[in-house]
Amino acid sequence: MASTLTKTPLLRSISSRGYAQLAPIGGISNYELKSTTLPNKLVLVSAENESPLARVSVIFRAGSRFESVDNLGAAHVVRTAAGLSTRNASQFAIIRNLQQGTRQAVEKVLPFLSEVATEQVFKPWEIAELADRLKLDLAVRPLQLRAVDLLHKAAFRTGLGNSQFIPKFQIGKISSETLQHFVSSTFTSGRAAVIGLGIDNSKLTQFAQGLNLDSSAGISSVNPYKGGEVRSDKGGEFAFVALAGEGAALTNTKEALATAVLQNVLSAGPQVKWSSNDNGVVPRAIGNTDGYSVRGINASYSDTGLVGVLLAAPAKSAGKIVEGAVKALKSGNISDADVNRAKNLLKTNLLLELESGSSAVQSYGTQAVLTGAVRSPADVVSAVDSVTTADVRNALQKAARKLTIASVGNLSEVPYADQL
Amino acid sequence: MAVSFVPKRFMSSALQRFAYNLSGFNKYGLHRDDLLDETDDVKEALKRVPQDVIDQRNFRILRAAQLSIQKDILPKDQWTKLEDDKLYLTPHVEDVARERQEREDWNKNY
Repeated sequence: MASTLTKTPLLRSISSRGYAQLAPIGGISNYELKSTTLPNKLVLVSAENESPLARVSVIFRAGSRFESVDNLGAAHVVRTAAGLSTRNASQFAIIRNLQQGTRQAVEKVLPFLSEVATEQVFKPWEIAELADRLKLDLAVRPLQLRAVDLLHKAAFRTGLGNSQFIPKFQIGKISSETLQHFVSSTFTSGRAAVIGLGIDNSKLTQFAQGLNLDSSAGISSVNPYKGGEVRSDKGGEFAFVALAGEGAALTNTKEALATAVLQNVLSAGPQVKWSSNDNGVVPRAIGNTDGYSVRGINASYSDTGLVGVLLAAPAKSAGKIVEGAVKALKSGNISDADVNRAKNLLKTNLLLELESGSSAVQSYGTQAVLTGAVRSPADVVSAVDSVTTADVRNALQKAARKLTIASVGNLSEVPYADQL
Repeated sequence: MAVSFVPKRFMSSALQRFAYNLSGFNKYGLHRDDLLDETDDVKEALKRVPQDVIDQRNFRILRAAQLSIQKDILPKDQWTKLEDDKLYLTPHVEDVARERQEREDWNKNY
């Protein structure tokens, strides 16, 4: 079962090996981003980073927020169904051909990517076989993740409030037709972005133009922040509490960056390996009690967002710790030093994220698909520098106006929303 | 049985009907696809057919077995007619065979 790589002609393998030794696997980092919008509104982003690996991804605005009551969980099934048989290629062919790897293979592999992205058929028997995989996905969710999921449910109720995971009662009930309908209303050219790193711009344009996509607008979902409370008693020794208020939309770059800074002001977690020292505003307010963990969270969507903290605390002291965190969020005491520290942390995180190819593609993809344009790393970093302390204070005030609390685990001591 | 293997274009519909009736399985109320040998391909294909079709197939096979034990056939008005005999399984068997062929080819070449 060796791949065809061993059969490449001698000369080509020598030249490609020499090429691989010129640049590191991650490629160069100061590449130039080319962003264009095709006539059918598809956003195309490409960059030549001289990496021996080419990465191409096709991204759609088709998350769980576009599910309705009838097809709850469809996004999760579609996500899991990537790689199943399509109109012109079988599951086997897709998987084996994608395993071919490296830059030379990209032209052979691209047709399969376009098959997977646009030519889904969802054969009923293959969908039925997915049930076990979905159950596994549900079973391995950590409680922290469920806290964040419930936070969205409490904050937005419908739409954005839909879990990214299929509810248990929907497993096996989502038919092939439901999936087909969900895909046809979300996988359209106006909601798509094609990102390529280490691939020629003209080649990528050709690929993107060849995608068989409908050009209708698809469904939309408007989800204003509502706020509220969801509790899920699961027992155990810990309580996981997500506490957040309204954040910023990604389209409003200035506010989005201010909330991203705010996340790091609240708490960025220990930055030195094995240390437990965190200089964020929230851990300072909670003080030195027994082992707990706090981390700022920030999620910016196309029209709204959430910013706050995620706490993990021993069940017995959870009450005191949550109260401390709420006090910190409501008092709004942020100093210039805090903001400067947070700005540096944010810049580091953004740049580190772009260092690895796969997360860079993801990050550019999210930007392209939600805002329709991509900003270069240097551009973003200078924008972060221009965030002022007042911006961050405003973001915190906006968030603290109405807090949402979602908790999972042993909730015996966790306060209710009206006690905050 | 041989009827299903003769390409349709070589046979006028009257001749086809004649051969179909001559083959005899229709007197037990069976359909052509009920007679397929249950190879691995056919077993896989059976998984892809809706449950109601499977139920009908099982009923026909059981009824035929019962008739065979009793050395009897159905009354003539219940014999399967060529028009009613839809190939409900053959397209799926062909799909499965094509997928298996693809796997075998791949294993041969790589």
